[in-house]
Formats: sequence, C-alpha cells, structure tokens
Amino acid sequence: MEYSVEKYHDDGSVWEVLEDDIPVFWGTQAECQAHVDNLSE
Amino acid sequence: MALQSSGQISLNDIKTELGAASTDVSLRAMSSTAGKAAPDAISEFYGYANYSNVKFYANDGTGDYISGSTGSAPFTINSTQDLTISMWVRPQNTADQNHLMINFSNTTANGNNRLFISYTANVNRIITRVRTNSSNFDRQFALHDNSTQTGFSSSTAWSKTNRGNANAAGWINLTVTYDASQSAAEAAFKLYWNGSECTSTAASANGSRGSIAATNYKIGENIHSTNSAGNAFMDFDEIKVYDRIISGSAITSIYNSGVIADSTQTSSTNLVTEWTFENSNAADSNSRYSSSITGGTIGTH
Repeated sequence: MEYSVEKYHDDGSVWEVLEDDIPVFWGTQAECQAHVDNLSE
Repeated sequence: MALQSSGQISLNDIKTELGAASTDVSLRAMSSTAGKAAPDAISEFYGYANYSNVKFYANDGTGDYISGSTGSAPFTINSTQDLTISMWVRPQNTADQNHLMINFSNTTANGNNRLFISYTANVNRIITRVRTNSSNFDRQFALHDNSTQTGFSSSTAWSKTNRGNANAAGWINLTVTYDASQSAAEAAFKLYWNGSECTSTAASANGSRGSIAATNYKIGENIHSTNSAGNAFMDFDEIKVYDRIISGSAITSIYNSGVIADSTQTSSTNLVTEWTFENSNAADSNSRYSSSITGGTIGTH
C-alpha cells in the first residue's frame, strides 16, 4: 500500500492523504504527514 | 392502401402505411411518425418481451477490473461538457474496503487527470472528482449525513452486511450528474441514491480544471493501477454515461422502482454508451471503447 500527501485545495489550506490514490484523510500538511507516519509505524 | 383488418401485418406494412423513412422502422420512431406519444417500454407492444436483465459484472477487490480505450474520445471532461454517470452497484466486502468504482482519463500512466467516483470506508464517503494536473474539483458525500436517501444511520462503513437502502437483491442505483459550467463543485456534482438526491456535502474543493479526453476508462480499479488497495469489491450492472445532465424524471426512470433495466427501457436521450454485461463480456453497447475484463467475472442475477 502506498501513501502520498498532496494538496486537496489548490491554495494549500487543506491537504489530503491518498492511499493507493484514494483519498482517506484531510488536514494540514503536517497533520497529513503525521497520519502517514502513524500508518507506516 | 389501408392496413388489413385481420390476419398478420408486418413492420414494413406499418412503415408503408405511415410513409415513414425507409430506414426508420423502429416501433418507437413509427409511433412518433404516427403522431402518438413515444412508448416508454417495448413491452407496450404485443409480442415483444420485457428486457430481461440476466448478467452483471463481479469485481472481487483483488486485482480485478474492466478496462477500455479508444482513439476517439466519446466525450470530454472539462468545464463545459455536462455529464451523467449512472450505475447499479452491490458491495460484497465484509471488512472495511475502499472502492474505486469508475474512472475516465486521457492516460493510464498516472491518476493526475481523470474523472472518478470512489468510496472511502474510514469516513464513509462517496467521492466525485474531476482531477486535472493534480488539481481537485471535488464533492464528497458522507452516507450517514444523507441518511434519508442512503439508509445509513451511522458512519459504519458500506459493506455486504451494511448496504443501506437497496433493492431485495442488495443492489443500489447511484447516479452522478456533473454540471460542468458550475464554478463550485458543490453545485456541479449531484449524487442520487436510488433516485433520491443526497444534498449534504461532507467536503468540496473547487480546483482549476483543464480538459481531459475520455480515451481510457477503468471500472473497479484506479485508471493507472492493477491491484491497488482501492480495488472495488462489489458487483456492477447497467453502467450508463450520458453527455447531458439527465432530468429528474429520467433519474427516476433509471431507478425504475428498484428493477434494473437498460437504457432502452429507462432513458436513452444523449446516451453516450452503457455496459449491460448481457453478452457476458465488457463490451459497451455503442462500441465506444475496446474493452476487456481482467480477473473479474460475469455473474447471473
């Protein structure tokens, strides 16, 4: 399973986590990265 | 010469009597020529059986998909072309599962340019999105926030044992309309669950949109993937694409009180194509794409 963090809104106000390219989580960039880090542990 | 009053008459006899065009011999067309209201169902004519829906497509959540491509895109995804995608689905997962239901794109190399309809289990949302150059134009519908339409009273994920409002066999009709000229995704996308509009929005994004020629499609899997975690574990039937926003009455007609039917019995105006699976393959009815099934199977109702 691959995770990526990308902008959800173009202006970067909301980011999202993609799990094999399906959106699964939304938040700030830091929150999204932390979500991925937790999933990877 | 008037039609004979007894015995058998042929379609050609009716055509001649009406003076209809030589190529215009369908019952519906000739009914219209005769100044009568066009029938909604071929079954209105004696001797013609109702459309019988026998087959469906089963995608088992592990590496299955239908894919297709064409050199000439039957429609374009942009900010001017209205679209409607309607399909019958039946979740078969027992554990939480994301489902990439359908996507159209100009490439299979990546997922950066596509129109997709997916489901995300952990938030219990159906996502409708046009994504161009990695920019998102998107509206999301939480099933539990649209409980009247979906039948979901909690955020427990969509599954075989928690399908929500469905027909007796577990099928749900999803119809998504895309009003391309709307600048706000919340206004552009509408989702109808069994013909009833889901009006509550969980999230939306109004990213910029380019133009995507729909030369490729995939059902049950990401356009650029072959065995992703979002491989749909569900059955599909009567997938229809229209290049217009179909009317409320057409949406009701497609739902057909829970009876799955093809476009000839529901709504065929501006139909781009549809997948009925009645020929036990992935071919679409108007031959817009060259298609194949990978892994999945054709089931019988």
